[in-house]
Amino acid sequence: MKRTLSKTTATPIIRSAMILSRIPIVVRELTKLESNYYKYQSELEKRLMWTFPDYYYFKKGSLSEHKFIKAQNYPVSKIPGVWYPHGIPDIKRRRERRSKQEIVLPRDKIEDDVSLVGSSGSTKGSTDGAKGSISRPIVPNDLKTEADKKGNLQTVERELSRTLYLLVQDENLGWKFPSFVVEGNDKGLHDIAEQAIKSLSQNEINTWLVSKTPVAVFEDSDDGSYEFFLKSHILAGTFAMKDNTFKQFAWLTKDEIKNHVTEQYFRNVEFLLAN
Amino acid sequence: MNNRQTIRSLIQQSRSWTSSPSSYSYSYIHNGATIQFIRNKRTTSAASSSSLKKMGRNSAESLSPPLQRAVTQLSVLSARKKMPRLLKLSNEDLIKHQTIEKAWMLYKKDKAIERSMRLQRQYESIQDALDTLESINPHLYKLATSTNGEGNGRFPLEFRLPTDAPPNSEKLWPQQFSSTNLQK
Repeated sequence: MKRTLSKTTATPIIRSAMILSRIPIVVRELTKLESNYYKYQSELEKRLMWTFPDYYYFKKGSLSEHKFIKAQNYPVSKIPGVWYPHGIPDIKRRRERRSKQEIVLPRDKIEDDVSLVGSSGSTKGSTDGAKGSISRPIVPNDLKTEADKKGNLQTVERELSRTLYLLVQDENLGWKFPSFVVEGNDKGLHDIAEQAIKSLSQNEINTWLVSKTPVAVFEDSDDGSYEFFLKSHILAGTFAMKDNTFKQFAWLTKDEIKNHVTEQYFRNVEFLLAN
Repeated sequence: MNNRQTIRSLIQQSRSWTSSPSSYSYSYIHNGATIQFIRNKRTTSAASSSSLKKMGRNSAESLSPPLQRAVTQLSVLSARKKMPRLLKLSNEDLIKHQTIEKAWMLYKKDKAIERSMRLQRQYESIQDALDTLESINPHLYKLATSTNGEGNGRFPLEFRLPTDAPPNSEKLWPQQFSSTNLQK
C-alpha cells in the first residue's frame, strides 16, 4: 500500500549500500561434535582396511625393505599351548586381523637429529638443515596474525577463519555498512555503490560484485528514504580511507558487527551475513 | 579354470606318490617340476608348476621378472589374505554406534534446516527489495535486473579457496593491486 502511495508523492531519497566482504582465508574450525565424529569414522575405516601390501612397495631383499621391517612392531603369532587372555591371535600376512594395522615409517637417525635442530632453533621454516629438511616436521603457520594480537580492526589480515565485512562509522548514524545517495537516473545502484567504494579508498582495490540486484532494502520511517544493499567481495588491495566522508572504518566479523551497530540495524542485516 | 583344479586333476591322473598322502609331507613330480606338500598344503608356488609355465618361466622355481611383477600387482588388488575380520559389535557397542550415527544425522539435519531457512529469508528479501525498487524508481529497477552485455561477467580467477593452514605472513593478502595491470 505504501508502494502505491510513493508513486504519487515526490521520489524519495534512495541510498545504495555495499556489503563488502572478505571470504575466509582458512577453513573454519571444526566443532567438538564434528571432530569427534570424524575421528570415530577414520578409526572405523582403519579397522576395516585391507592389510598393507608391503611386498609391492619394497623389493625383496633390498635395504629399504629391511629398514621397513625393522621399524614395524609385528604382532606375536599363535603358539600352541599358550593361553591368550585377550583372545587367540589371528594373524595373516603379519597383521592381526582383529584390529587395525599399525604401520611405522622408518626414519633415519641423521634426519631425526636435523629435524630436532630445525624445530627448536627457528620456527620460521628455515632451510638451515638442508639435507634432512625433507623429513622435518611440518609446523602450520599461526592462525592468529599480527593484527589479531594488536587488535587492529583496519586490515583484512585478521580473523582468518571468519568472513569479514567492511563497516564505516558515520558522524551521526554510527557504525553501518557504507552507503551512498543515488542522484540522477543514469547509473544503476550497483555502479554507484562500486564506484563510491573504490573512490573512498586511498589505494586501488579489486572487488567482485555478486549481483546487480539488491539483496535487501530498509525503509527509514523518519525521512522516508530507502537504503538498498548490494553484495560484493574484496579480492585484492588494501582499503584505506581517503577523505573524511566517514569517521573511520573497520573489518568486522558477524559477532563484532552485533556489538558495533544498533540492535534494530543488526536484526535487519543479520540473515545476510555469514557466521 | 584355476590352478587348484588343474593340480587336483593332475594328481588324479598320475598318482605317482613318493609317500602316502596321510603323512606329514609328501612330494609329487610333474613334468620335471617337484610339487611339495606339507600338512596337506602345497609349498611350491602354483604359478611355477602349472599353466603359467608356458608363458615365460626361466627356471623351475622362479617366474620371469615381468611375469612376477604382474602376479604381484594382481595380488595387491586381490582381497586374498588381506581382509580384516568382520566387526562383531556387542549389544552395548551397537547401541553406542547407533547413538553416534543418530546424533550426527540430527546435527546435519539441523544445519540443513537452518541453511534452507536462511536461504528462504534471503530470497524473500531480494524479492521485497526488487518490488520496492520497481515501485519507487522503475528505471533503476530496469538497470538492476537487466542481464544484457557488461555486468559482473566472469567469476574472478583471483578468488582463493580457504586452506587448512594460513599461508606465510607476506602472502596472506595481495596488498598491491592496480587495475592497469589487470587489463593487460
